[in-house]
Amino acid sequence: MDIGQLIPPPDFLQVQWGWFQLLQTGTFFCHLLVMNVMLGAAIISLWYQVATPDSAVAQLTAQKLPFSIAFAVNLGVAPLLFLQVLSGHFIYVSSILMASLWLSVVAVLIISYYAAYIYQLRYEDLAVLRGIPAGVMVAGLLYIAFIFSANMALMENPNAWPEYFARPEGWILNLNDPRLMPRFLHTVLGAVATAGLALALYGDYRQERGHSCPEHMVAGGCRLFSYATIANFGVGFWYLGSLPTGIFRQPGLAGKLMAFCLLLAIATTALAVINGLRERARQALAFLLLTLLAMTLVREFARAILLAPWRDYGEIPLRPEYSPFIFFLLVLGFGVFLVVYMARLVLSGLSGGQR
Amino acid sequence: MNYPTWLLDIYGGGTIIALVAVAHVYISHLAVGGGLFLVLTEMKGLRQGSREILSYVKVHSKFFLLLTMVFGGMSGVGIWFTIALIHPTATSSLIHIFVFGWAAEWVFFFCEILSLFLYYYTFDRLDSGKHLTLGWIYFGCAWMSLFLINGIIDFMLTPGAWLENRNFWSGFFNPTFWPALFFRTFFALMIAGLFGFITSANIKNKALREEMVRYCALWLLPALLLLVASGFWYKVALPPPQAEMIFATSPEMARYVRGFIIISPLLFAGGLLIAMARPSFLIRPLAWLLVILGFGYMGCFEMIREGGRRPFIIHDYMYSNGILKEELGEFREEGVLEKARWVTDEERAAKSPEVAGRKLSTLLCLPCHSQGGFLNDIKPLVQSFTREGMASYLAGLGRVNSYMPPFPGTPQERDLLSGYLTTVLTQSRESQPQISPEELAIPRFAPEDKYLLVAASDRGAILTSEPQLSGLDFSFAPPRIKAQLIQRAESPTVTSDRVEISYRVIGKPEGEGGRLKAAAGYFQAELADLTPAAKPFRPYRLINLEAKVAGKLVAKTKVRVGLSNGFACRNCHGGPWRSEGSGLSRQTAENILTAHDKRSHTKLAREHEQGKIVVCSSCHSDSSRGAKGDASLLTLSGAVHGFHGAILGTGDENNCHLCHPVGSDSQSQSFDGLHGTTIGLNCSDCHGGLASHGAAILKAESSPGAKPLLAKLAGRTALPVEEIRSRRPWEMEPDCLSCHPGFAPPEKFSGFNQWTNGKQGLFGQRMGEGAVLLCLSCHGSPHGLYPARSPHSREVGVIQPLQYQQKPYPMGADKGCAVCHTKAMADELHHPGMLQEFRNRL
Repeated sequence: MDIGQLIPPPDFLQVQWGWFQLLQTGTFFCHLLVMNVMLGAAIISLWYQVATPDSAVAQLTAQKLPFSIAFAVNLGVAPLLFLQVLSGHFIYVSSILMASLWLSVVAVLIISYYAAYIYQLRYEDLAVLRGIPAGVMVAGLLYIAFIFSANMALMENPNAWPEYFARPEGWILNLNDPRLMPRFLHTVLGAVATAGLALALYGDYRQERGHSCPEHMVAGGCRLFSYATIANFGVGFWYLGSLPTGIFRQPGLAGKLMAFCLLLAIATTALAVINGLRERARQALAFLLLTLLAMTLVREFARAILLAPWRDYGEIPLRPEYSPFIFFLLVLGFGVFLVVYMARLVLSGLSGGQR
Repeated sequence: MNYPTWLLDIYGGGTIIALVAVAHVYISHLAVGGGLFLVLTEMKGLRQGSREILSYVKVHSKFFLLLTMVFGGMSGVGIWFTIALIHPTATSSLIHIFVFGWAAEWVFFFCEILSLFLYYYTFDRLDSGKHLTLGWIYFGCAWMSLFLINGIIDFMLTPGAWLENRNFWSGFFNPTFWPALFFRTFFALMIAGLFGFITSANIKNKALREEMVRYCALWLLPALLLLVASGFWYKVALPPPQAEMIFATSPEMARYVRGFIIISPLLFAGGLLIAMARPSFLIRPLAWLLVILGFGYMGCFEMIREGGRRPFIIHDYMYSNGILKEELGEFREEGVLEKARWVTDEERAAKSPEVAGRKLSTLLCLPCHSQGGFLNDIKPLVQSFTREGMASYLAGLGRVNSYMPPFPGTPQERDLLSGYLTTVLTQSRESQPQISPEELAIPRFAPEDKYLLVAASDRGAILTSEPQLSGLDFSFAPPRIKAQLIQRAESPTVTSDRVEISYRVIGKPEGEGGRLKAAAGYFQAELADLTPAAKPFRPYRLINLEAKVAGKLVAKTKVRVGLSNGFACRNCHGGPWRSEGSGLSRQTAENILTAHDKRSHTKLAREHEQGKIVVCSSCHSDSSRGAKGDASLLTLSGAVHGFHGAILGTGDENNCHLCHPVGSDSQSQSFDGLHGTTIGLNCSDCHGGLASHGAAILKAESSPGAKPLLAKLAGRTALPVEEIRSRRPWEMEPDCLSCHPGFAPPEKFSGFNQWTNGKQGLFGQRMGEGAVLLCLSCHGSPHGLYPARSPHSREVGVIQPLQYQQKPYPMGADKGCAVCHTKAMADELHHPGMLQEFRNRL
C-alpha cells in the first residue's frame, strides 16, 4: 500500500512555519520541564510513601502535586496546539488509530488529578492509606505518559498506519515498535531525575531563606537526579539504537543539527551529573536546562527526519494574516505581565502578614 | 475524507461529544460566573463585616476549585481530543483558522489557573484588597476565555463574511458573536447562582444559610431573565437558514427547543421556591434539582446550537461528513471511494455492498450516526427502506430533509451504499412478485349478432389505500365504467333508445351490481364500493355487462376494471405488505403519518392509532373525488408529487414505480397497455420525470407551500421551471394528440408539457371524429390500451377485441370495420389513419 496516499494534505498556515516551530519547541520545553517535575515528584512521593511512610519528602511532594498537574496540563496545551498546526495531518491520524486509548487519557487524568487532591487534602486523615491515592495517581500518570509516548511514536511511523484497516476500533498501540518502550522509559527516568533535582533546589531555596527543610533533601535530591540520569544514559542509548539506522547520516542540515544537539545534550548531561554528584544543585539545573533544550531539539530534528518522506513544511500553503499573530503576542505579553504582577502582589502581601 | 474513521458502533452518533461537551460546557460556564460570584460574595462579607460569609466564600472557593480546575479544565482538554477524533477535518480547520485565538485563550487559561490557586491558597493570608484583586484577575481571565471561545464556537454556526473574505476577524466577530457572548455570560452568572445553592444549603447556621440561599437566588433570577432576553436577541441574529433549521426544518430540534422553553420557567420557579424555602431538608434536594435542571438547560441549548449548523459542521463551508461544499462536485464526479484517502485498493475495486457499501457507510454515515446506539442511530432510520427506495432517497438527500448533507458519491456508490444499509446493516423486506396467470373465458359473439357492447374503465389503473384496513385514505377516485351499445349495420348506430345496461361484479362480494346510467352518447356507472381482488391477488376486477333493448337481452360482455391496492409506500416508509405482496399495511400507514407529523407538526399518527381513518383529502383537496380540503394547503397530488419529487432522486428520474405499482418488480404491473408493453414507454415519457411532474402540478397551486417545493425542484426538471406549463391534477393530462398530431403515427415519444385543455380533452372523456364513439370503446382504458398484455392473464386486457374480432388489437383494427359496419369501409370515419394496418403488433 502506498503510505503517502494515507497522509492527509496539510491545512494552510497564517504565518511562516518557522514561527509555529519556534512556538511549538519553546512551549514544549516549558511543558517538558513541568511535566517532568510532576511525574517524577509523583513517583518519588509514592516511593517515599511506601518506603518511609512518615517521610517529610512524601508530605512535601503531596502538597505540591495538584499544582504541578494543573500547570503541566496547561503547558501541554500550547505545544499540542502548535503541533496540530504544523503536523495535524499526522497527529490526528495516529490519535484516531488509538482513539479509544487516547480518549481514555482524559478520564484517567481526571481520576489522577482528583487522587492528587485527595492525597493532598486528606494527607493526615488517610494515614497508612495514603499510598492508595498516591498509587492511583502514579499509575494514572504513568499510563498517560505511556499513551502519549505511543501516540508520538505512531505519529512518526506512518508505515504502521495500515494496521487501521484490520483494527479500526481505536486500539492500535503498535507495541511492536522497538522505539516505544525505550522512549517511554527515557521519559519516566528523565522525569524522576528532574523531580529529584527540583527537590534539591527546593530544599536549597528553603535553607537559604532559613526555613525548615527535610533532612538530606538537597543531597538526596541531587543523588536521585544523578543516578536516575546515569541510568537514563543507558536507556537513552537503547532508544538511540532503536531509531532507524542511518538517521544520523541523513544528508542535509537536519541530520547535522540533530547530531550536534545530541552531542551537546550528552555533554551537558555529563556536566549536570557531575554537578549533581557534587550536590551543586543550581549548577546542575543550568546544565539540565541545557540538556532538556538540546534534547527537545533532537526530538524535533528526529521527527523531521522520520517524517521527511511525507512532510515538507515548504509545501504547506500559506495564507498570510499577521494581525491575529500580533494579537496573540500582545495577549502573551499581557499574560506575562499578569503573572509577574500576581507574583509580586502575593509576595509583597505575604511578607506583609495576615489580614 | 482525508482521515480514518474511528468505528464506535453504539457509541457513535455524537454520543461521546454530547456527553463530554455538555458536561464541560456546564462546568466551564460555572468557572466564569463563579469567579464573579466569589469576588462579589467576598465583598459582601467584607462590607457586612461577616466572618461567616467570608468563611463561606472560602469553602465555596474550595468546592469551586475542585470542580472547575479539575473537572472543568480536564474535560476541556477532553472535548478538544474528542472532536479531533470524530471530526478531524473540521477540527483541523478550526485550529488553522483560529490558531492564535486558541493560543490567546491558552494564555488566559494559564492566568486563570494561577490566579485561582493564589486566590484560594492566600485566603486569610493577604489583605482583602490584594486578595480581591486576585479574584478580579481570575474572573477577568475566565471571561476572556469565554470571549475567545465564544467567537470560535459561534463561527461554526454563523461564519458570516468569513465565507467570502477568509478573514480571521470576520469569522471571529461573526453575526451571532455579541448575542452569544451576552447569552453565555448570563448563563454563566445563572450557573454561579445554581452552584451557590449547593454550598449555601450546607451552611450550618440557619440564618446565614437562609441569607445565602436568597443571595444565590438573586444570582439566578435576574440572570435567567437576561439570559432569556439575550436568547431572543440570539434568535433574531441568526441568519434565515440557521433559524429555519432550528425552528422549522430539523425535526429533532423541536424537542430541544421545547425543553429549553419548559426549563426556563421551571428554573425561575425553582429559584423563587428555594429562596422562600426554610427547612434545609427542602433546600438541599431543591438545590440539586436546580443544578440538574440547569444541566438539562445547557444541554438543550448546546444541542440546538449544534443542530442549527446542519447539514454543516462549519456552516455553508464544510458538511458534517467533512466534505467541503466546494468539493461536492469533484466527489460526485470522481466518487467518494476514489477521493477518500483511507480506502484500500480492494475496497475501491469491490462492487459489493458488503465491502464497498460498508466503506461508504463508514465514510459518510458514521461521522454523525451510531449503529444501534443511543444517539442518531441509523438502523431504525434505514430499516424501513427497500434497496431501491433507499437509493432514491439517498439521491435526493439534503433537499427536503435539508439537515442532511447531499449524497456526494456517484450513482454506483449510491446503489452500493443503499445495498449495504438495507441488506447488510439491516434486512430490508424486498419481495418478488408471485403471479399465477389465469385463463379467462371470452364471452361469445356470433357474426349474426345484431348488437355489440363495448366498455372500458375511464380512469385506468385505480389505486386504493383500502382505508378500512389501513386506516389511511389517499385512494384515487373509484373506477368508472363507460359503455356503448352499437347496433350493427352498414351504417351502425350507438343506441340508447329503450336500452338498459346492467353490470355485475364477478367474484366477492358476490352479486354486487347495478345499472349504468345514460349520459351523452354512452352509459356509465361509478363503482364506489368496489374492492381490489384478493386471494389470489389481481390488479383488476372483472365485471359482467348485459345490454337489453326493450327488456330483451341483446349483448353481453366482460370488462376489466383496473383496481389495485399496490401503493408501494413501504419502499421508503417501511412496514410489510398487507398481504400477498400488495396492500398498504397499518404499519406503513402509521409510518407515513408519523413522517407527516414530524414535518408538518400534525398529530395524525395518534388519530390513526386511536382507530380513526385519516383521510388525506379532508385537508389536501382532491378534484377527482370532489374533495375541497383546506384551500390554504396544497392539493393532495401537489403535496405528494411535489414533496416526493423534491426528496427522491438527483434529477428528473422516472422513479414513479417506487410508489405506483407499474414496474416489473410489482405484483400489479398495472401499466400493461400498448404504450407500456409493446412500445416500451415509461411514465415519464408522457407525464415527465417525478421532478417535472411535481413542478407542473405545483405551478398550478395557489398554496404558499408550493413555492418552497418548486425551489427545491428547480434545476432538476426536464425544462426550466418557468417553461413548464402548469396543470391541474386529474383535469389536465398529457394530450394523446401531442404525439399523434391529427391521429398520425408519432414522430416523437414525449407528451410532457402538452396538457389537455381541461377535462374535455381527457382520453377517458374524448370521442373520435363525428363524436360517436368514445376513444376508450375501441382502444380500451387509459394505461391499458389494446393490445394490453397483463402478466396476470393473456386475455384480461383484450377481452372485447378477442370477443368481437378474435384478435387483441383495437376494435376495427386491420380494416376490421365489419365488426360494426358488417362490411368493409372505404372512409376513415372515426379518425384518420384507421384504415391502415395496425402497426404495433404483438
